[in-house]
Amino acid sequence: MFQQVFQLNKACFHCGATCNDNEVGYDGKAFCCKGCKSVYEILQSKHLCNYYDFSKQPGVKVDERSSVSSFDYLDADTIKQHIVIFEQEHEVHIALLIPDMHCISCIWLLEHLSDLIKGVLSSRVNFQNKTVYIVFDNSVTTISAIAKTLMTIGYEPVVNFEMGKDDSIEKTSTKRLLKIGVAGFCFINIMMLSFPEYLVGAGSVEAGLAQYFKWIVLFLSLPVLFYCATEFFVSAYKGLRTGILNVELPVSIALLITFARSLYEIFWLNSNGYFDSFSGIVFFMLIGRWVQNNTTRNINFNRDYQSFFPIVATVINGGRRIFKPIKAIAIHDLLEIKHGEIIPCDALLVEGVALIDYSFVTGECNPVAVKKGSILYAGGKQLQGVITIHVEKPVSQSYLTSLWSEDVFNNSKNARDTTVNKVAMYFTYVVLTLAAVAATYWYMHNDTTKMWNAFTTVLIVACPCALLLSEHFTNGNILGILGINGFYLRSKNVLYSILKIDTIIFDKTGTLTSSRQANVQYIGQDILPHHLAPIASLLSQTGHPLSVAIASFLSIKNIEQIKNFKVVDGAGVEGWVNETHYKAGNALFLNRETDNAASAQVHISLDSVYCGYYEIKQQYRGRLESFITSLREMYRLAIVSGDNNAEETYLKKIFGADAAYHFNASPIDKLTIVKQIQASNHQVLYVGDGLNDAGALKESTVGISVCEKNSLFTPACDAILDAVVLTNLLRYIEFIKRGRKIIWWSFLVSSIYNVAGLWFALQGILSPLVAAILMPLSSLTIIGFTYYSVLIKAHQLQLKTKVL
Amino acid sequence: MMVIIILLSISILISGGFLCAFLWSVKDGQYEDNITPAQRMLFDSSNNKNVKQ
Repeated sequence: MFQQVFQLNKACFHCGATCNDNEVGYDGKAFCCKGCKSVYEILQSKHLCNYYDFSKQPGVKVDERSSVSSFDYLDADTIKQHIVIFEQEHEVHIALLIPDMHCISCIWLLEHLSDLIKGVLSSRVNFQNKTVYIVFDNSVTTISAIAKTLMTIGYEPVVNFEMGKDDSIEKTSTKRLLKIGVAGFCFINIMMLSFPEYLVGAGSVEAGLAQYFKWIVLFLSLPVLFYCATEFFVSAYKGLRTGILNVELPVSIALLITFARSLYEIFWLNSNGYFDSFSGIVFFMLIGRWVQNNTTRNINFNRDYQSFFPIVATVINGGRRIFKPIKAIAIHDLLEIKHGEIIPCDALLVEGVALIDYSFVTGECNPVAVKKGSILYAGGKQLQGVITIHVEKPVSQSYLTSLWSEDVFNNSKNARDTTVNKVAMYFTYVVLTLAAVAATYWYMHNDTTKMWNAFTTVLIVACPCALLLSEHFTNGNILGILGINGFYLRSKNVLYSILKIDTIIFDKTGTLTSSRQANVQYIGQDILPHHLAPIASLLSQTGHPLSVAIASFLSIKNIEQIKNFKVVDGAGVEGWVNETHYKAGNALFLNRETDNAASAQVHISLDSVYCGYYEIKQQYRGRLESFITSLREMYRLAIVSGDNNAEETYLKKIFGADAAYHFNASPIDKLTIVKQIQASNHQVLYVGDGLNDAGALKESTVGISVCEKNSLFTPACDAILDAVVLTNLLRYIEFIKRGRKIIWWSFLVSSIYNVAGLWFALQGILSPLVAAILMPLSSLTIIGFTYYSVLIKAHQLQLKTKVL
Repeated sequence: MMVIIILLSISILISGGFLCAFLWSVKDGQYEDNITPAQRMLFDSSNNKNVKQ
């Protein structure tokens, strides 16, 4: 075969991908593809090249193969209402979700849309929510035009009906911030007013002043009790009602007792009570919760098949094409499915040539050609041309959605008892016993004042809030750092369950392999170099992914004219170039017997003389071998795949003979495999990517969904892992493990404070001074300790700790 | 010691003012995105240039 000269590959000026042989030069810069070059051209023509100054190779690779989907439906009224925030005369405010924004340059460009698109008045980015807010003049441009331009420069907006739902998360976050503000204000002022009492002891402050302080302190503590602390009481009450004693219960008891005891001191003992400790606890605990919940709020982990589907379909109605929301599609509707669009429901192919990629639904990696009159299943992606389909079943009853009626989807995973909850439970019993013992002891000694003193102060000082704090802060920081590194966890519970794992199951297609790259190999007699261009030209006439892969492998720039070009659906192509007859297609098309039907092959013949075939193998992700080798030492491994066993030999080399292999597994099979392994008391980590893994992801102890491009179509799962960092998974688990140790260490630190406090409390001599010093001090120590230890661990494991 | 009472009242009022400012800024959405503003301030000069063009 013609030897290609190896040359040093440059990085694309736009997106940073390595330029292969099809490098495009322009303006003295190298680009990896035409798409990247054209983005550069657009930006250059608008004087927006500053884009390339803020960060190196900031661009998003524009996928040429991806659908050139029109965004016309965005202008339809039913859809518009989900995007438009505000409308006045010609001025329209919209919010578009753009998952691809990732760096400073992205922000810069998206905030300069007014230079790029005529009619856009201003644009503003919210990076945290990956949203851009655009104000435009609707007499000059339309939403669809803006969306189209955004797509051409690599920032494809994603429209989803879920968008509106995220509000509630935002609102709780805002509410919590308000509570933190109020609690902090009250805490600081109560501290200040209690100062004289700490310094010189109760009773020494002038009577008038003391009275004045007292009432202000009481007044300031009311909002803390009735506004800021309510969420602890509510969740404790909810826990009690469902019979679960959660960690909020002892905290609530401690808070209420502190408050009651302080009221008693104010009214009967003429001192300030423990209001400072009380408000301090609430303040620090609210911060802890905020840290913990702040990190994952922008990712939706509960997606089902519906978010995979488009939100509208083009319905042909008496020659007219109208956009209909997916849910409104009825049986017997005629739908038009364009190149790159997803089929929303089971339907009959009425017109056109269908080449359907079912990889997301079944895990089968090669596209299927479907003949007129056959059934198409929902979830498949049309890869070539336009087809018309006749709806057979409504969206909700398709083959794909039947998976969701499996039991797994009806019962959500039980909230697992976390260590802290258990520790807090024992803690509560111990503390209650201690308080009772101390009270009895002083009662026996006929000292009733000391009895009440000891009883209440033991409960106050031993409040498990430091335990709670250490957990909140450590987990919050860990979740945050993992998120920065491309591993997003659904909740802190995943941190616990991921450590119980002893078996890891990998899905093959899309998880271990990359769906974007293919490995092409030629096997057979040498083809003379001058034949390569015609072959590439012939193949590039079709949109078939295998042809595309080979054409890009041959990387021929000058396309030759083909005469008598002929396509046989699902078989191959043929044509004449320079008096030579070229034929390319599957084995049957060239009258060959298939020796290994398993792998994807394209056979070639010249003037009816058979030459050989191109074999397209899937490209495994980089560094996979070393990753799997280190996993093998610690976990039982298994592979499941909806694909055939063509790759088995290669996989066996990496995964070893002791791993389990399951090929040709349907979505239901995958689920059963997980169930079987779990039944024999193993904890399963399932790593998958598509809808075909949805059941298994849900059933497994931890389901990780691997996503290639900022996760549009991740099925319901416990964690989302960026495909680029798949091989870092082991490091992430190690990080979680170390984080766990940090929690135990901070338990130790906080219990030192507790013991010190108890020492005074049991003797019945805990003064407000000791309480006021011990409680905030222990909280601050814990916060500082966990924060820095997590950072140190992250550095040790070479994880990123900053977003930009 | 009346002066302390007055001083303390003033101090609480002032800190109350800050609290109100904080609550206002939260409700105004300033804490919804704490990444972009820090980056945006780096863009200003080029922004004006482009507007003129």
